[in-house]
Amino acid sequence: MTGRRAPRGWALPVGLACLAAASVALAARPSLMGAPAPDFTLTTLAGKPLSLSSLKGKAVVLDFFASWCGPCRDELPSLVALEKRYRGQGVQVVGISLDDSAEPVRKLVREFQVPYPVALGDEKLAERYGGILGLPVVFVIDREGRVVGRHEGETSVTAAEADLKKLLALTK
Amino acid sequence: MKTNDNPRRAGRWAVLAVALACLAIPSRAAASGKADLPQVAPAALVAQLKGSHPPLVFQVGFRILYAQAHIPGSKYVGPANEAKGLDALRAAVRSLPKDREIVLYCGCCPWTRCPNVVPAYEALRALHFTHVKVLAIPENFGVDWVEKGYPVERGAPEKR
Repeated sequence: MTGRRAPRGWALPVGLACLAAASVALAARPSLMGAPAPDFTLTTLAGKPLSLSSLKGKAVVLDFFASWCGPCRDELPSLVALEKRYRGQGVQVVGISLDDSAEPVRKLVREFQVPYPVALGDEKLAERYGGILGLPVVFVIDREGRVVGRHEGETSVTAAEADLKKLLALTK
Repeated sequence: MKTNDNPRRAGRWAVLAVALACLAIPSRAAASGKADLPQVAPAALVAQLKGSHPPLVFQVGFRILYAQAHIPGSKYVGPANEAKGLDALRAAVRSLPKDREIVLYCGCCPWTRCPNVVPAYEALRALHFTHVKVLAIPENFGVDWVEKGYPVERGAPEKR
């Protein structure tokens, strides 16, 4: 006899369960779906104040992007078209750039003739929106200020428009 | 006997199907000209970082991404599609031996559209570094690292 006790039968499953729980906790990112969209107050590139709460009563399409991001640039014409198509129905597009400085964003805004307000965001705002850990990310926010859609990647504007259509059909 | 061969044959077909699927995965990378970059998978990098000779890891993406989540111990150099980022990368490796193992990563956007990893890799190769790899991030850092449960640190990079 070695005097060592064999591991209890439950030790391995419990250990594995703990490891799995730890992994889930690390991987968990807060979902904002159905929750109030975090309010913010920023200054637009045009120098005007912009807060999400001031847009209550409108459906908001909130685009996190960057000037150097290829998919973001590709989606910009669709976003501009979406803004023009739905602005008469109480829809407001807002752009939040995650660039480090305003100048390349100003250039982009001029190049694409972006008609909606654009402001620079930061990591605190990104974290309040559940983490913006890849671009672009588009949120759709209903007239009561709740998040009803979050879309990431190259088809985010198409997906956001689908949400918007549902939202507008509901509120007709 | 035929009846005994069938499961074997089915097994071979399954292996072939898996192999073909694996071949299809890098096709997006090939389309973007990034297929030739030596890559390291996230799980393999995590294992390396726990080892006795971890590679040096540089983030060549955007500052706000790094501040929200980055690979523990990784150093921020900034977007390598800009001269400032490339200069920071060159400065960071100036005193290193040329055979030092280095891993570059970005994760700003889908692999095929990332503007940063290729210039960063080419800059280090031009400096004659021989053991440079790029972290394989097909979608972005959130999807392929954070949501997979790999370790992260938070915090803004030091000001330069």
